[in-house]
Amino acid sequence: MTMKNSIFNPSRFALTARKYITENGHTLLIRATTLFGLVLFACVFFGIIDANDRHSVLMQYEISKKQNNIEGYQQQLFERYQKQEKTHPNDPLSGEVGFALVAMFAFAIYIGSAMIEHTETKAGRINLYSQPSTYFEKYLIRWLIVVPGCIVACIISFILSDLIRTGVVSMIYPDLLGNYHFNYSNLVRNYYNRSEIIWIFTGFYLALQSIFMLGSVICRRNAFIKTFATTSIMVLIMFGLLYMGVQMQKMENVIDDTLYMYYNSSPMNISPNVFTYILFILTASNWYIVYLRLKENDVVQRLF
Amino acid sequence: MLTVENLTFNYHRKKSPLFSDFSLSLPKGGVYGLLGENGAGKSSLIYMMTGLLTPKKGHVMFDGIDVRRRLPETLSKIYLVPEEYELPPISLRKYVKLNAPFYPRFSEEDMNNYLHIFEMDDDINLDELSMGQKKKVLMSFALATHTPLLLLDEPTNGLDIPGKSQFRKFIAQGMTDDQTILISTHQVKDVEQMLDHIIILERNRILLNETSQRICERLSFIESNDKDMLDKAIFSQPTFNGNGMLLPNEDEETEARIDLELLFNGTLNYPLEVANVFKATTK
Repeated sequence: MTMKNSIFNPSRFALTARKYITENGHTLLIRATTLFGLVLFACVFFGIIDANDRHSVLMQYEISKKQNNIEGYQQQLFERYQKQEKTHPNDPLSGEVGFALVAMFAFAIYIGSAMIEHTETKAGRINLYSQPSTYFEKYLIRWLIVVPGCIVACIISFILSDLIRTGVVSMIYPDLLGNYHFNYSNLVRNYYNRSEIIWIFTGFYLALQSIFMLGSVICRRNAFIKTFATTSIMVLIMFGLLYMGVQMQKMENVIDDTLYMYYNSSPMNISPNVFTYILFILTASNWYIVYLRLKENDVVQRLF
Repeated sequence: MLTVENLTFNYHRKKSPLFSDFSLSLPKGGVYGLLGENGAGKSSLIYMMTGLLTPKKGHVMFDGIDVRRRLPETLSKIYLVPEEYELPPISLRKYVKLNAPFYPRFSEEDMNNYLHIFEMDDDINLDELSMGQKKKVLMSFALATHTPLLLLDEPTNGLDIPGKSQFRKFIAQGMTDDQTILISTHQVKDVEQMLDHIIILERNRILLNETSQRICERLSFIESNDKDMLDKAIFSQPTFNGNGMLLPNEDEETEARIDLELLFNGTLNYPLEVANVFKATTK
């Protein structure tokens, strides 16, 4: 293969990707398995707790039925369990989804902080920088694994965990009523008309992850701990300053005013969209800085 | 082929530069020895030659392209075997399959030949090898890429005694006319008699930059107890059989065998005297 100097060459990118995935396949697999294990544990744990509750209701109902003493709420509860699926339509974010989201955030920032890994040692940096492909290609394969790859891994982990949870619960409580699969359509139905929440959530997720990706090219060793500490300190300082400002200026109602401005539809006020835009701009700029840092880094760090 | 142009480089702004307005040229073909004491800047120079380190001023040009741009085409023509290296925990065959396509002139047959010189097999897992064995694998791969420029940084570090003699055979067998090999080392005995060109580097300056042939013509390396010779010697050092002496070669017809250690020590201790020998016009 002749080497062209264009910033992106599909065949060279395929070689770069194959090399990266093969050489890091073991590590990537361990990480994905850890994520899956965490989500599976949450799904099965919350599933059994929930099934146990349902089972108690069912037992109570059967006893009451035999005694011909069914109360109205028992009938309602039984009917609800008979008709409905695992998740209540008004409460799609059940325990396991909440846990899965926390796991997804934790996984995303951990993977993000390991984006430019193997550069802790000079030998690792030489390997990476002297590989005959462009920095864009080296960056792109890592970006694909860290950003969309992480989301896909989380979704697959959740779907598989949900299937296993259903199997486990069916084995423990074979007489339990109702469809035990997670109701994905409920989730979509609930958030279909609330796109701003999805965008803010996505923006926050990507922005947070991008900060950790940035940390991976700034700190060569212990990037995760250092970025976590730095981000936490910055957030604390920010809140501390805000709190001090509020206290010093005796503006106790400023938070209420801010919230009012935030949700007010007046064009003069800040809308949730602006916050979302800021998050996405922050994400994009962080991604770009990561690329530039990777491109400009030297094998030996010089002290200025 | 490779030119270092007016390079200025320092690791710390407040310290004196490691290189200041430093220039060097490596023409196509031949085995170059870059010799220098620890901390002379050999590895830093090699990193700048491969674009892995950015000079403060100046450029390193390879076939007219600034290596600092780290273009894929340039990177595929330069192979660096660093002093510190890492190999992934995969089989050698897989390693070759993954890395060889980046180097258009790579030859698997040659790779197996070089492994054979080092008495190694290609059916091995890289994570099961010792550091010395890994180095042999990496050097075999490097030479099999047939890149026009091959840079070996302290190649004999970590090699066992048979490995060092195998290394000399390996270079002699793998060398092609259109390939330039630069060997950076402070273990001068390991690369003796295999260099076509010798560059002795002291911090920020080149003390000697001559072909082996010219060194043989101008200098002689003698081991003797003769006091008259000792008086004429540019440099001498005690040996088991008397004194090893570095002398101007008065009879240029007689080609001497280079004692690299003597040359190195003599040049470091008496750089002006050695330089004057090469400045003098041929009789």
